[in-house]
Amino acid sequence: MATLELKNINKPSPRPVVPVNYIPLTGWYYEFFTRVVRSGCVKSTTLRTIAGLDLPTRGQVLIGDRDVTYTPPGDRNLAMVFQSYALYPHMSVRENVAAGLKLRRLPVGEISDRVQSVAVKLDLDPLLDRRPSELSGGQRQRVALARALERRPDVFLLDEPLSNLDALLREQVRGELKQIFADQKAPVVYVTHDQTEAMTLSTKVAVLYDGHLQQLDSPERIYSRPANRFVAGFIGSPQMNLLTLKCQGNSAQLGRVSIKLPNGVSTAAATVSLGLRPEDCVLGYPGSADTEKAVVVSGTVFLSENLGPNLLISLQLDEERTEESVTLRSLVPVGSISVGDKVTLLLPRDRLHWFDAVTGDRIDS
Amino acid sequence: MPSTSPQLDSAAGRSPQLWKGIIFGILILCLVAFCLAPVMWQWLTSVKVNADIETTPNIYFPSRYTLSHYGELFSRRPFWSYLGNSVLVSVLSTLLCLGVGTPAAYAIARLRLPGKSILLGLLLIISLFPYILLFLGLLEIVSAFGVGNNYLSLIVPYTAINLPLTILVMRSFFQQLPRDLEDAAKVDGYNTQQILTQILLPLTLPALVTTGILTFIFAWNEFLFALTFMTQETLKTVPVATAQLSGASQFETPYGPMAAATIVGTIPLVLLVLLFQRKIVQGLTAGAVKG
Repeated sequence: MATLELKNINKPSPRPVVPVNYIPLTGWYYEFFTRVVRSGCVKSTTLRTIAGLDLPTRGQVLIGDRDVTYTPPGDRNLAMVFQSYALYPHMSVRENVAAGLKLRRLPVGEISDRVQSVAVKLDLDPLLDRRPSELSGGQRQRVALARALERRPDVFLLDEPLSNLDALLREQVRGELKQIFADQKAPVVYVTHDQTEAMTLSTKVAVLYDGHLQQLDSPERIYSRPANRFVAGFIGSPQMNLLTLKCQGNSAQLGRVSIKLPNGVSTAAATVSLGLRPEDCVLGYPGSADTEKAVVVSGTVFLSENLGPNLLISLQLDEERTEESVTLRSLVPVGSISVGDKVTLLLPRDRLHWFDAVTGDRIDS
Repeated sequence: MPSTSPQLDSAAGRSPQLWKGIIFGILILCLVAFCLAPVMWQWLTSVKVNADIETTPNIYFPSRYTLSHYGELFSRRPFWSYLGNSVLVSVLSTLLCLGVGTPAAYAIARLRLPGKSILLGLLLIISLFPYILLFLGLLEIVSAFGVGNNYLSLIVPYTAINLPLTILVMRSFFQQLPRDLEDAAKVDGYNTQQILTQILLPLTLPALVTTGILTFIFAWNEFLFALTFMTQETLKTVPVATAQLSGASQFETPYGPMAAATIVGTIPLVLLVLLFQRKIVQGLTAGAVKG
């Protein structure tokens, strides 16, 4: 299996609006690597650098053992699926899929064999003689995919391949993509701003913000142990509760409760960030839970939103002083709570995420 | 009866529709007549006998027809060679113009060149410059290089005069093409020249045809350069030859043959435009890149 490696890649943004835009990825091998980026970030620049469409100002791109930093895109043996699909409008589907192979001067027989087998795999064989303009969005997407697959490249690059599909189709194609690429023996780099795609497809996710790598981890760890406040707030829906709490000694004040801080927090800090996923907050009764394992808080529900499988409630915690009111959101079973109710929530201590209030970095106990 | 009222409604609804159609048709007819009247007049003159041409009051729609003026063109004059000269000069300048202008336009559209806006401004100024003002200078150049009575003396100026417009039009077409298409081609392994010829040019065919036809029409109709730089009888182009047709005597203006020459000289242009007009429309409708 080929590997892809980016060493100290540095690429300033073409737009001067973002002052520094570095992509410092060092020494990682990616299998199914997804970049979650927020719009306004260096969306496709890394991908374009790997493809050779943009040159880095510093650093190296390695495929396997080859340094391809200055190799033209066509000689890197990689395949790219573009967001707009970028099919050649004047060629039939067959010609589109075969174009890359023809340029490699493969024998005609082998080209048609490969095209045929890819077409069968992607259900494209009845469409082979059509023009791209006669295809639906989903079909064009499959043609773009076929064009990448028949090349049997060392690396696959996918630039938001699902963003032009409607929601239902996107879910279906997402599943197909996962199955197709599970069979491939090549790394896949997949850029998306959709966290669901990132979580479902990836074996490793890199979260980038402002061109800086925030975290590179498995989807499970990204979700359960976000490296900083940005990742914590970005991954997960509904969004994680992120509260800024006042510190007193080695405990933080949440409503009327004081929570012992993990050891990593410097006692000099005035405030600290606490993260807690809404689905980790459990409904309880006062005195019902073991305060060793969970923090017990109570408050008044002021908003409830029905998400279908469950209810997202927002409650205001009871406070000593009302001007410092704290809002907490929690997922509860549908029908159990209505607006104005007084509720008690249990916050499991092992699910609390602590972040430095200034740097936003995760603090582990 | 309930069924009559919709019928009445539709009848009442149809008559303004009908009037609109009639008025529209009449206006179209007027427009066509206005535009084509000179051509019709030339064509009628070319098939009238000489007596009908010269008589007063004018005979608009003759009762006698003749094709002798057309025959005269080809029998008494080397009209085939005039046509050949025109075709040669026009086709070569058009091809040269597209061949040089298209890569230039692609480079201007895609490369980050220093002073690109100045370059574009200059191109625009050149294309707005009245070409007649170049005439004296060109005459000097033609005589200095000794290319008078040589096809080059027409082909090169025609190409040069039409290049700015070709570059400007092709550039805006190239800019409209999605960049992803070129990137995809690069990843597929096309080199720059192959991207231009195999991916982009088929997509810009409508633009190529449009600018090509403009150049061709200019070269075909150009009179002043052709008159001055080509003095040899066998090298003359159609417009010059038509203007220089002479009658049987010095005092006779050969209206008939001139009209016939005009018609013969126009036919290739009309055929060309009609032929490529379909290509233009086809190109525009088949060009869908992404919905």
